[in-house]
Amino acid sequence: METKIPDKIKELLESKFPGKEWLSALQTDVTSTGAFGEEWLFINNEDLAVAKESGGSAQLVEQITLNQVKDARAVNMVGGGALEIEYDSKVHRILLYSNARAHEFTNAARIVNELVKEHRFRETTEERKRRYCPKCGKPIAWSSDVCPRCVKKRQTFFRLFQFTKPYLHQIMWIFFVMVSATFAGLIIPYISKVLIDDVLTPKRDMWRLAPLALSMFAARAASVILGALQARESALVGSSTVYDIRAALYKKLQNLSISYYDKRHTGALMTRVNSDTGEAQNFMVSWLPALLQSSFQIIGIGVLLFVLSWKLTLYIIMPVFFTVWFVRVVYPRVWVYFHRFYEKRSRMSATVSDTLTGIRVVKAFGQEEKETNRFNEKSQDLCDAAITLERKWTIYNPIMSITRIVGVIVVWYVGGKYVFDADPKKMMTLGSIVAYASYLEMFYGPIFMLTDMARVVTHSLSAGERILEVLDAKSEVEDAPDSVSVPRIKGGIEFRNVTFGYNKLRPVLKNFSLVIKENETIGIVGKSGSGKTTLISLLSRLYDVDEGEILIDGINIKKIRYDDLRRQIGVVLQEPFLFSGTIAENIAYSKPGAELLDIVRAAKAANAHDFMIVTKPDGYDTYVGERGGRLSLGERQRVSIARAILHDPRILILDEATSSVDTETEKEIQDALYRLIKGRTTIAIAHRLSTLRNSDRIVVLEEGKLAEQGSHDELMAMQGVYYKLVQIQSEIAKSRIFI
Amino acid sequence: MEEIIGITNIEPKGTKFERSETGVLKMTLADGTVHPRIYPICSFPVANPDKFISIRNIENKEIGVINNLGDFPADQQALIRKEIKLRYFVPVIREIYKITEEFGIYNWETKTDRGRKSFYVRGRNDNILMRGKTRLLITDIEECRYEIPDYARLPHRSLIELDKVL
Repeated sequence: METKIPDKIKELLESKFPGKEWLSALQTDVTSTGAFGEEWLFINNEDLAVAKESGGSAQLVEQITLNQVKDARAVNMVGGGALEIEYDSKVHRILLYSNARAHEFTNAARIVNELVKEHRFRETTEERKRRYCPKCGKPIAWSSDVCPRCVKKRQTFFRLFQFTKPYLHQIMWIFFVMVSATFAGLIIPYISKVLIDDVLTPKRDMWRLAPLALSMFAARAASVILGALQARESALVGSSTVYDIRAALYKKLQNLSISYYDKRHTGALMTRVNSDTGEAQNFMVSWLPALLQSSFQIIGIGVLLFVLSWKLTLYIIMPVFFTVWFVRVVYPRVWVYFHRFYEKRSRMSATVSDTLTGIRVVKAFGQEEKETNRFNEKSQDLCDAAITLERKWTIYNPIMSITRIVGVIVVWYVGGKYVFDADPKKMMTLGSIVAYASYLEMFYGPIFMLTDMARVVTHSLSAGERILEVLDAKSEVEDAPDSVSVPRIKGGIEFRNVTFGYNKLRPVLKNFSLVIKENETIGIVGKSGSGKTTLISLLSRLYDVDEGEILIDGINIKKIRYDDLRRQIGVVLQEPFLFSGTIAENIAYSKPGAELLDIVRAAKAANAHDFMIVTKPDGYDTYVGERGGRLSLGERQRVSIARAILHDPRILILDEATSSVDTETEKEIQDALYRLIKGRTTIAIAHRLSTLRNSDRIVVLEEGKLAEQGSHDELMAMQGVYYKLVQIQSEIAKSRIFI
Repeated sequence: MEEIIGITNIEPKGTKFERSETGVLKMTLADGTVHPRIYPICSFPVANPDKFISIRNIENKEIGVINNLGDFPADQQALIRKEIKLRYFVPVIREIYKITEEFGIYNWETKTDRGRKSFYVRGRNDNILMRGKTRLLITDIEECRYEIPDYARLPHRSLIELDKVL
């Protein structure tokens, strides 16, 4: 956040620390009493100072020389935090900040510590989560990095329009049909004018009645048919275009690296595929044609109105402007009540789904009545919202209708006077007035449309921009140009001085080195947060390391072709993720089109064959439900083991489940795993003692560093970290027997 | 019972809290143990801020629990309360001057117990939470939190503004 340092404070610093160069100047938004206000933190190579301005003069609140400092820390609190510095063997709280500045001061604490210990500090290039538009400084909406205010509307529009290129033919056709339909629609009032002025008023040429009535019908019919044609074509072009956009978007999302997903809400990305493309579809299919049509109509009707009577047109400008104002300013206020109504409705349905999915719990605790009351409360809210909405609507809607009628009444009154006018130059015929009134009625529709359009278009174009943003994103993990093909990995792995953190300020793995031999089985143990999962994510190249390198068969994995790497690394996850489909499809997920025999073999090896044949009437064709929900955890684990066996990877990554299954299932899973591990390099995040015993070597991680390694017996004899972990495990195991 | 679940009570008798010259809170227990730096954390910050206040040391380990802050002498209460107020940076909104919306982001201009503040809130659903019948918790886009203990008691003008987002 770039904020200007007040001059008074600058002067003060200059006088207290003459000639010093400041490395960092940060502003807090909370004073030491906890109220909103400003204080400043300054850091240079030797000093740390806190200054504030009060009553027109600056004062120095804290002044600490860095060589006294033992430790600096940013203490996270609720809604904010405090920067605390330890010196003179005491902890000093030097300033407070709100969450808005937490990131800056966490960084400041790091800088102070680095200056104290290493007399230098690392610059971070890490970008803060963008909450404000870099251009206009205003906040931007959740789920997007796009500022709707600064969207380059024209550019986005043209880029989206590129997708319509294959349909240029149809578009020209639509354009032609649209103009014709508008023209046909505009003829009708003109025919009525001729009818009144030339036939009905003079009461002559009765033979013209039939052809005129017929042509009226023809014009109407033409307008309707052409309109329908246009709608059909627009729907075709719009939907096909959006299909192409959606396909491009989804393909891109599949290809983006995991780190892209980490920085974003999965929900937000789902929004892009589902609702943003829907928004684009609305725009292409409904809004854009309507926009064009309205423009044609406004131009056509406007010209006709002016030609029929330019003086009358001057009179009706006022009511038309009033309508525009109404749609722009007053109408959105009613929208608020619509929104509220929808929101209350979705809250009510959320309550329903919440309770019904948890109905077992509700019944078990006998809370039916409480839940009924909770529902009734939401239902009452919805009822109230509906009533309020209807009340507001009954105010605004009549005003709207009255506004529309005002213009028409002006036409009849003022125009009526012109009919009586003796001066033939000023005189208007009855037919002109009737036609004029009809045109005016027709005029309001497109006026509404265009006025409301500004809002809709902005909305749609931001959606379009969000889509383009994904299409433009670059995958962080990509094949290097000099990547090599490794059709068969032998399986030797080396981590060489690897440092990595999801947030570069806080590395999870710190200068980690480990050599794994071919076909070796390594068990990794450590507390949660010690870096186990990170280690395997790096190996399967979901992320790239920050520093150091990972080698497979002596080749840096960044140089190995991504496809080759993926094909030869298999993963069995703690929470096995099955896709909705049959068991057979899930087993063959990594190898579409696998022979049935291979699938059965894999299932047998995974001890999954018997349970499927015996307990599932549909055998391998059993539908597993969404995320495999219809299978038990033990069954899912075995299916995922079968999947890995069929995949037949050279390197196997095993994230063992902590959750317990019954002893017999456990044994079957153990057997299955043992068969799976044989003949491959295996890295297992192990929780089971049995897996650890079977490992050739056990690696103990602690805070991102290698703490101990060796065989089970060696590590037990050392009585170190591993020994303690095993002790705790067996305590838990013992207590389980009694349950 | 207390022995089993391992809750250590901090009794008003013999316990002394002081604000040290360095601006942090110090605690001396009845047996003479001194904790030079303690952090009080509320177990029920919203519903019962005075009950079961956990006192933690610099390593974030629990030293003990204050069952009821009201049992302590007034000056000691004030010290703890002040520390809690600094820890829980949750300004209480006293008045709402104006709420305006643009592209789904609401700009609140308010007066809080910690001074005037203008902040931005995304949407209305997740960031304005109703707790109980009258209490509102608001989270702005910086993840700062604001509280309205009883919205019915806001000035009339504020209620009209608030009505836009409820």
